[in-house]
Amino acid sequence: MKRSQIIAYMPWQLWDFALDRGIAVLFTAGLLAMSIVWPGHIALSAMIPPEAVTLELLKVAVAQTVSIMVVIAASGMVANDRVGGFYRFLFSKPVRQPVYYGMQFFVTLAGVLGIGLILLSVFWILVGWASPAVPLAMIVVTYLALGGTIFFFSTFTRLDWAMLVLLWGASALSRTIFADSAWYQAAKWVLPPMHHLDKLRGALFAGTPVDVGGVVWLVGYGMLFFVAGLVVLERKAIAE
Amino acid sequence: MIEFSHVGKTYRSITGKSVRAVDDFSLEIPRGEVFGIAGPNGAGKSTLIGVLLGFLHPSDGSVRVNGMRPRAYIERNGIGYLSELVTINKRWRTDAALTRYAILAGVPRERVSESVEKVIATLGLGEHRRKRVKALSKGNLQRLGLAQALLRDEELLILDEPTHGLDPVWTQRFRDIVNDLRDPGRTMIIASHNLDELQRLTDRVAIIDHGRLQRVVGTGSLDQTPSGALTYRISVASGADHFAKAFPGAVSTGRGEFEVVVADLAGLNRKLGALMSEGAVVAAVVPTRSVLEQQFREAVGESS
Repeated sequence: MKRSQIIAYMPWQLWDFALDRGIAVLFTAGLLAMSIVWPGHIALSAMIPPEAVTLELLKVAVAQTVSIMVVIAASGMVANDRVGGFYRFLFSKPVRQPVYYGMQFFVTLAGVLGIGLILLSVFWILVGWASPAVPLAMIVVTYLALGGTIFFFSTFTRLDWAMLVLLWGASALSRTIFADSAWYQAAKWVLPPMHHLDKLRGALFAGTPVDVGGVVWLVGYGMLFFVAGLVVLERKAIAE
Repeated sequence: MIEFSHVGKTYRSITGKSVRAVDDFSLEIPRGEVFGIAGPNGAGKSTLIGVLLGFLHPSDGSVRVNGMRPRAYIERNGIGYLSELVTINKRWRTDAALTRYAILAGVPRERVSESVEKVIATLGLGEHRRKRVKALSKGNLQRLGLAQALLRDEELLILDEPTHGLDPVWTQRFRDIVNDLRDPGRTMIIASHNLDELQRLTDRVAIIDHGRLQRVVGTGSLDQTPSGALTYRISVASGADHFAKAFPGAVSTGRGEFEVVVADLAGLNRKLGALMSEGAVVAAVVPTRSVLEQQFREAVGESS
């Protein structure tokens, strides 16, 4: 397999993402954001200055939509090809599965960023200008953390999104209920560090220093799953 | 070129149930051979092909393609593969699907369009080129599947039920394509239920049943079955009364037709000579089953 050969396929992967997932992500996140932003805009405009309204609404919209965008975009990345049988023709060609899906992972990130920009454009028109830096940074970090995890699950089950919800749900729940227990103090090192996502978003919007260690842990957690997914693709027969 | 060595494959369910799909399968297929795989439904043909493509790992034994693990061979060289189920994203258009596969197959960028046009012309997909996969008929979808397997001059072609869904014209065209592809450097494996087709196209046929290799039959010298029995239907235009003398035990099926069982082709010709020397006029001699079909039935049992 030549590098140029797989890179030449990248635009096709992006096109597939746009039509298979992109439209769903755009509409779901768009409607969700609209349901938050529009009533919020009317309510807040009477209470606080317009610049503050824009920032507050953007904060809420990012908090409510980015994770959902990532889950819809990244779920089924490998599982759909396996269940649909599309792998048969794809991998009778001189193509390595980890390279193909590794590339698709990052193409999907580019696609989600593109959708993020479309949604921001609508926000700028309807609400007002706000820097895209924080929302886009949140998309990248959330995608690497959540998307990496879901990618791993996708290599062996079509219920990848459910596994992710279960894992992240267990993390949030145990942090809330058992935060002080010795059990949680040990378990927190293997459970997804979801709380760092909220911390990061808060710090970026407030312009306060970011907990770099927390971000590294968050992204590293997802990337560890991503690499594990690539290993599974290399070692496990795809039709098993 | 291909070596199966004591390959076994067991499927295990979550509940602990296991099914032995392939058992102790050993076979060598040399370079340049057109090789057939025949077997009843559930015999293990698709599992065997899955193992050969590296889509399934064998539970026992090993498979080597040119001395390499299947995936290693495919990732380095690629193969032409037509699966039993042609599964292509339904949203893709015919020409776009072929362009994608040509890129992945490693066709040089400047030759992608030429390769796509060539297979479109060969498989008669010109009028369907802008159709989406979901709009293609079963036969056209099968032709698209075959087209993507022929995008590059691969050394190894694996065709699983290649004429499934094709009309008689395209079935014949497929046979011509396979004959055109015959090359000392190219190995072809054709799995099919159609024994007549395997007999026409292949050099040898492996008959498998219950996951085991029952026998390998050379199609070039099919003049005798292991049981020594060939069944023919013979029609005579006149002289039917001499039939019983030339073919003792022949069964009359009416209107000058007889069913006879002979040991081999030489014996059949001798007896036909004797019949005609008595003044009988033979109108037709038709095997009631192709010899491969007879071999197949003996190998897997009449019930299959």
